[in-house]
Amino acid sequence: MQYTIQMEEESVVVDLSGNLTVENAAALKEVLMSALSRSQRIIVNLEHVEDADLSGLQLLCSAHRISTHLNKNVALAGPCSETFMEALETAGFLRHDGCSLDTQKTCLWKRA
Amino acid sequence: MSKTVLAVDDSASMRQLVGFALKEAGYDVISAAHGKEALEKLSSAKIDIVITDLNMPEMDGITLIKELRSRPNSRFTPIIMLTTESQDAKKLEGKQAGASGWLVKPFNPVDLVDSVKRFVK
Amino acid sequence: MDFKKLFEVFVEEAMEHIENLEEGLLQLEKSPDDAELLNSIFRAAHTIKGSSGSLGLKDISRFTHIKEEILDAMRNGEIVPDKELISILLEGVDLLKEMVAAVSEEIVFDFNRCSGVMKRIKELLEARRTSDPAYSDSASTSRSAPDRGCIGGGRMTYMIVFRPAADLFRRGINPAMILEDLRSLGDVFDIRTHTDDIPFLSEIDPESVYIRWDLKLETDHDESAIREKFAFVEDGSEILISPIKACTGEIPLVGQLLVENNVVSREDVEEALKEQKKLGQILVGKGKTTEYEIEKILEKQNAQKAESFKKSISSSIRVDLKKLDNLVNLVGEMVIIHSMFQQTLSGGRVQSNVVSASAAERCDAIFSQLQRIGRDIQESTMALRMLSVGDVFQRFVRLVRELSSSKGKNVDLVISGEETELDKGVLERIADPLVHLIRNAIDHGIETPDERQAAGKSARATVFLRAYQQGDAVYIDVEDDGRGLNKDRIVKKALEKGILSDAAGLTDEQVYSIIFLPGFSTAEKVTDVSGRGVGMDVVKKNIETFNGSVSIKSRKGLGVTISIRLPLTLAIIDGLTVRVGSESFIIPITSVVESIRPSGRAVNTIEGKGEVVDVRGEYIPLIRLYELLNMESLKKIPSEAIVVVTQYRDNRFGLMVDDLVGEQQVVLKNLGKATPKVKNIAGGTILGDGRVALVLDVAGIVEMSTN
Repeated sequence: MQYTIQMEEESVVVDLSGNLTVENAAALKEVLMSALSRSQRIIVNLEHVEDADLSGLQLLCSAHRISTHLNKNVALAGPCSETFMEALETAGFLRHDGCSLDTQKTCLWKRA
Repeated sequence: MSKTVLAVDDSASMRQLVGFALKEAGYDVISAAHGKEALEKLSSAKIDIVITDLNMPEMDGITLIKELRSRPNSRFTPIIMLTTESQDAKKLEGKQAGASGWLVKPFNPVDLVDSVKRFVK
Repeated sequence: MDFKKLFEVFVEEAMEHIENLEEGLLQLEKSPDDAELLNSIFRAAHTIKGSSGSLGLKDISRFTHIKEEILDAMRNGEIVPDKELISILLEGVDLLKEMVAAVSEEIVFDFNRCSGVMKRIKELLEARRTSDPAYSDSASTSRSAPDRGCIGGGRMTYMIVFRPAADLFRRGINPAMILEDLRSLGDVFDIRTHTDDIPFLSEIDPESVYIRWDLKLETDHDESAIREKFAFVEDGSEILISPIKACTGEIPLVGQLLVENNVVSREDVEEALKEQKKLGQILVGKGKTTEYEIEKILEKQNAQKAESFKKSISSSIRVDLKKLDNLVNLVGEMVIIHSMFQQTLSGGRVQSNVVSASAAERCDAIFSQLQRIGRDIQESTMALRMLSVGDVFQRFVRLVRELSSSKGKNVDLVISGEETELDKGVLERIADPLVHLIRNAIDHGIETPDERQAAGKSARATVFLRAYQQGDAVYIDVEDDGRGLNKDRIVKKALEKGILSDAAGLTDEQVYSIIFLPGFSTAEKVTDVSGRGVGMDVVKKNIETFNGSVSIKSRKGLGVTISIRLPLTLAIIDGLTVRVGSESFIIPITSVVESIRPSGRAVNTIEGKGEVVDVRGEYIPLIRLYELLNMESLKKIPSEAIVVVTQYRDNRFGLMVDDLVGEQQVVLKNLGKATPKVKNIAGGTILGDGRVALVLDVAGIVEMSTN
């Protein structure tokens, strides 16, 4: 997994590439933590992500959950690779409702 | 890109059977006769899944599993252990050491391929 | 995979097992009671069956299956191995040898050669089973209860709850693998991924698993096949598999059994069912009664049906299937939770894979689940009361057509938002007011075609009937493109009738709302349409009885819009629970502005206005609830009590209560016929602790206190 973090106007943009799989989970956690500490608004660009497993999805979820708590905003940007979308589908992450913390209705995984 | 299986067994005929079935199914197969050899092979190649016998000279299967789980590049690698029906205690030991699954000997080559497929597509 | 290359290994393996089989059978002749021996023979046949099957060698697999069946029956003690049985089995072993050899030589074996042996094995099996009454019963049940666990065929649907062990990744297992495995068994659907246990980023162990899946699996396989898929992950995971749907058929059980046992075909049964005579015909045929008698009774039956239909109109409700399905699913989940709870409580008696975390922790989790399901069920049930306004709206098409032709006007009715849903109770009572508003629009609002053309408008007028939802309310607008309200005429008439004493300083809004006042009617002459003694004041009152409100907008020459605002549902309200003395009361939250504890100096008595309280410079009337309701209270000094500031229309009032208890949703219950209608009470509700609390009607209280 590779990443870049840069500021764009008010937002911090995290560009991720490679695999969001368990081998990279610890690294992904650090990247997301650092992004969250920099700005109110975090955009995670998944365009160059090839694959993901449950660990990666859990971390994105976790980042979003803490953001609702801190009144920050985490959003995903795509388009995502087919493999990534399959991983979402396989893990049952595409959903209709957010979790109990999702009071602002910004859940990352809502079906369009 | 085809995935690589590391097959560890002290019996040459078993290594041959496993290698044969998995190559047929499109996997690359690296073989080792015991745990020590397996660890050596592991350091020079990227392994996607390990299939290991339990009773082996030099380094047995349980020790190999523990070793694999303690190394960064094989912490999350699926490990299938080969047991016999009478080895329930060994199976438990293997599970506790971090084995992902098991296959009871004697097994059918098709079952072997199916098991590997569950872990690596 | 090219199986042929694996045949070699199979042949070797099979030959070894066949040898075991042969030796075992020979030995069995000498010691027919040796259970261990029987077991090993069975295993040999079983292995050959399994491996030939997975290599696509169907003939061998089919043939060994028959042998395995008879060996299984011996192993279970259903039949006793004797010389005849063993020799036929040995004959089978010879055939099996040939079949396996054929595989290795890559030649075709004629399977017909096996049919003689297979037939005889079957016959022997049947004969032995039926000749021994002690076993015949169990034998037949074991055959007629197929694995799918359902007579008459059909798939089963299972509800599966799977909370993967936290350390699966560290065991080299990707938890999603199990979902893939389940997909190989059938259709996986309704996956719910519970993410509520995922910790915040700073606390998460990135390599642990925190989620739980609930899903449904529709499959031909039985529960043990499903459970087998979890074998590698069961340690430390929570796995719950329970069937949720038994198959249903329209054919009676006896018919199904006849079909199942190949006595008759399914078509035969259906045919027979169609030919079933009606009860009356059978009785007449038997000479028990006459056609005439039957006729009379049938008439009576029809009358009863019509009567019950009439009754059902008001008390029954048509429900969208999707809503019902959703509710049924939720109840299903409830059942799952129930069994999870049971398992958690019975702790020790349960296999270690079901309960992993401590029971207390699990109970907590289960309760939060239960809470969510409870909420969902409540919402779904409330949704059952919701009906779309379409049916009611459609009635007005005809009304408008008749009215416009009788008045010599050209009016189109444009309906929108038919799919908007309203509580059945509201919907029933909204029809009459709407009739009145539409009549008014056509009678007063819309000009004659000539007048319209003179004003530069098209001769055809339009009445819009719109429904839409906004926030927590549904709006129904009746809009016309007529002449609009004549402000001067309204004022003039109001002054004439003495409804109004002074028109100075009235806003447009206030002038328009005069038409809702009792005794006001602007029509110069009474017409058959609007002059029926039912004025706009009645419309307004009707709507207010179910917490609705009416507003009016008018633009001169362009038309009038009357907008009815209705609460989404009557039955559930958000309420503020307050205490007065020993009683609890609910104040609907929609009318609460704020709650304050006034300072001693903030409460004063003003001549002609009574007691007032100073809320940041605004003096609002203070209503002491205990006085109004004529009961005892603990706090009689305002500065010790709480004042709940409520809004009714444009005015604020302070309700003095002893204490605030909290906010909660309450289900509004009708007080029943036994209680006379009390103006300041909207209904009752049952609190969490089981006590009854009354729901205050703010409008009623304000009215009562001002009188």
